[in-house]
Amino acid sequence: MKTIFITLLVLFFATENFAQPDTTKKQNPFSISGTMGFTYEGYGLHVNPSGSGIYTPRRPWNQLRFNFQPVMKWGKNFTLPFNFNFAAIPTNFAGPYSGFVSGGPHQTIGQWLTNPMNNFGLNPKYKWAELQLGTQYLKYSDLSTGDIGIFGAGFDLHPKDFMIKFFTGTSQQGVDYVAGPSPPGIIGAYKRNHWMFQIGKEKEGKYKAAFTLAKGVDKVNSVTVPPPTNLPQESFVFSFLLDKYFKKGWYFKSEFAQGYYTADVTTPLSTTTISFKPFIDARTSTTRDFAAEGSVGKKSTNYDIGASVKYIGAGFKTTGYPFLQPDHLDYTLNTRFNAWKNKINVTASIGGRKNNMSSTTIASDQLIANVNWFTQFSDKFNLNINYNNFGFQAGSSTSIFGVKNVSNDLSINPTYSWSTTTMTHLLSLNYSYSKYKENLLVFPFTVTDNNTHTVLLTYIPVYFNKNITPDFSVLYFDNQMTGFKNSLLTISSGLGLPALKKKLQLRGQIQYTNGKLNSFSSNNNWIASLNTDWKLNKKLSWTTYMSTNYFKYGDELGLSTLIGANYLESTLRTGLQFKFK
Amino acid sequence: MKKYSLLLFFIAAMQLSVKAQISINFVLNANPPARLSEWSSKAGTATLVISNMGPVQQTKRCRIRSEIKTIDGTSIAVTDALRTRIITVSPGNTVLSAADVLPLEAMQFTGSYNSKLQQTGKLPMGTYQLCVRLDSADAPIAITAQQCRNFTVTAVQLPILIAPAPDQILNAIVAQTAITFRWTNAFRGVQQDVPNYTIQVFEILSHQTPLQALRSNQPLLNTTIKGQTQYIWRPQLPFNDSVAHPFIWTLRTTDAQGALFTTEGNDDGRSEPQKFIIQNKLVAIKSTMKENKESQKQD
Repeated sequence: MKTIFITLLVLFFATENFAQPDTTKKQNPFSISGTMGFTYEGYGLHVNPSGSGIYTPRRPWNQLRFNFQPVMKWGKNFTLPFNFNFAAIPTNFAGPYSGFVSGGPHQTIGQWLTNPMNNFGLNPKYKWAELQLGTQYLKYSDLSTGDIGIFGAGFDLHPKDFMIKFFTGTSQQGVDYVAGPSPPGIIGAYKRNHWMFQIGKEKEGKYKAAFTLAKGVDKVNSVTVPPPTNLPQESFVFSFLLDKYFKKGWYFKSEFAQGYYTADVTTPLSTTTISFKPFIDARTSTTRDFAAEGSVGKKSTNYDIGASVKYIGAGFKTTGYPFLQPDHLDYTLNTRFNAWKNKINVTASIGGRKNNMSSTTIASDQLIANVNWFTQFSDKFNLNINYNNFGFQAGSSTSIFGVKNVSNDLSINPTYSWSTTTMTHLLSLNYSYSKYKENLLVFPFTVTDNNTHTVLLTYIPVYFNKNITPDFSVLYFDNQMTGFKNSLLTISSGLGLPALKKKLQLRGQIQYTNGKLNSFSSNNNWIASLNTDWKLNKKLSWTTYMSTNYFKYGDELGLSTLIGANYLESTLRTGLQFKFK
Repeated sequence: MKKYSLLLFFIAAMQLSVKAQISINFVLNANPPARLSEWSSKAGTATLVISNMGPVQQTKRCRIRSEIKTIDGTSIAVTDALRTRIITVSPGNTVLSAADVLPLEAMQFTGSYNSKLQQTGKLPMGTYQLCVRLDSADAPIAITAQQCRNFTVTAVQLPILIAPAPDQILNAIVAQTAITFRWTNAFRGVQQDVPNYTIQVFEILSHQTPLQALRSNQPLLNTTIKGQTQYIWRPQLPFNDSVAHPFIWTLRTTDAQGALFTTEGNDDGRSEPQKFIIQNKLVAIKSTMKENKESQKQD
């Protein structure tokens, strides 16, 4: 890590000298823009009584992050952007690399390169031809691939309105399972390779038609100790996408995809499920299903209107979107319009979702409606009203499980401002009411009513002749359900001001919250923070963020030894950023 | 004709003598995984014990015949006798698992059940019977009695995240005090106990995509709630600045014994995550007001 730090410093000084403004009359064919730098993060936690376990650390004690993102340009046609972001200490918690933490097993070079904490990407481009090297987050379409980082190589060509794309690489290296709990243990993962290809025509703002293939497969022999809970998977998707943009803002978008997904590549070959050779051989754990989405609408200055539908089949799954939930149908209508000489702006949407249409589990329905109404009555006064409704029902009183949830949220926000010769005053009030009801339709037929009121008053003075920017807020939060009442009162204030002839920007904030849970004694919480942004020169800036959080319990923890228990949490983040141009 | 009668009599006699020596004991989990291909990888789903305890101890060759029926007795799947593997039963006990009891590569499903299996890998939700017997290796003649066991399949439904809504922008000053998370109930088969929901919130750093943040960062919130489908988080973090703070959150569902609610391809038991943003909108208004006034002064 010391070597990397020294290397970056050398690069920094070298490019600083190299990127000096050209004093000759000739235009320099080479230019460099972008940024590079590093950030240190420190975290501290003191818990009283010590060892009580009332609060656990939620950040790494130390972390060092580096970024190197210059964009080099030669002439008019050739650019070379770098995208290097990496961290010194692994902190993976969820996903295939979870367990790589400080004090635990070490990563191999391959695992470090493909760890999602780190990006090492290069994208040299000449006119319409781009080479993609290293870590890339590529989205080919909504239904094929787009959610994962892959370390590999590929290209993206756009000669005129044609397009050809290809990429192959690894999204995760094989990681051996290590049993926990001390060190935390590693869940393990199979090495996963990807291939993706897209060909079509595209004219920005006019149309796009593309045919896409995407495949991902786990290598069974890539680990010595296989993960006990994860199975080696395989998926293949092909899709056709068509987007068309018409005059006067009308648009039409669609995609249709067929997917093959194998939950366990070690299961025997199937004689009944149809394969798609040479891309995938069907096994007894292979499913074949389709997905589709479409939308149509119009966007204009004064109004928008649109409708969209999305269907994901029960057996549709792709390694390109690992958390995509299958077996549902979504439909939405939305609109936006201005009225009363553009003083009224309304956005509204209504939609639903049907889950589990394959009858393999209990079907459920969701309804989501939203309206936001903003009116500027005058220069001084405006009003915003927002209403959300959410409904969910699964099963019924006669099925093995049944539940019904309904949530209604209303928010009213008037804002008033008035000015004098030296300042403007802004006063904003926000009242929100959330009503949530859950009915269990089967035994024991529990009904839960959960209601929340929130009132927020904010005052912001804006001085014309002073550079300070203060703000003040008071908030009251009250949540009640049967046998439970939680109220919070918060007072907060912030202040921003420049210093050192505006080269240094300071912003501080302090907040106090008094909380009361049922009839327990109050708890108290203090938070303070300070941000500084110092422009050391035209290219170099130093930013620092410090915060302290002190929380003291009342008697709600239940034990006499924990009455007044408290913790002090502090965070420091400081870093230098160099701007090439 | 006489010759053939004698031959048939001889075969039948042989089968009868084999039958008397071999017996089976079939145990089936009443709530096996909904996905049939998972049966072979989940230990204890199905166990078949073949006892070869006759007075004359000899190795026997046989095949397992399995049949899935609906609860009213309608057959929906049966093994193809020509494609099941031959099992050599040694004297004593032979223990076989789900891979042999339910060899999907050798089973024929009927009509809509075949389509459903190809589409989802599962049977429609409901109760079925799995009937097992041993047949002769050379002919589809039973050498043991059939044993049937009932099982119920219901696929897992993970919670769906409701609030904050996807990409919703929360008021920074309110979020500094409390953020309310809501989700739908999880269910899995017959509800026997109340599930536990572990809610996890991850900060998305400036160079990260949402899923990258979920896979890379330590969560700012990682707490477990029993049964309830709402959680009020007091972040105890300052958000009242000019920057938008994006987060991604998800749920992990377990039963009372700590076993994850998993679905195919999602052995992590995590619900589809969603992103929300915390931002101080009034800071933007404040800056605009100051800029407008300054430009008015210049005019």
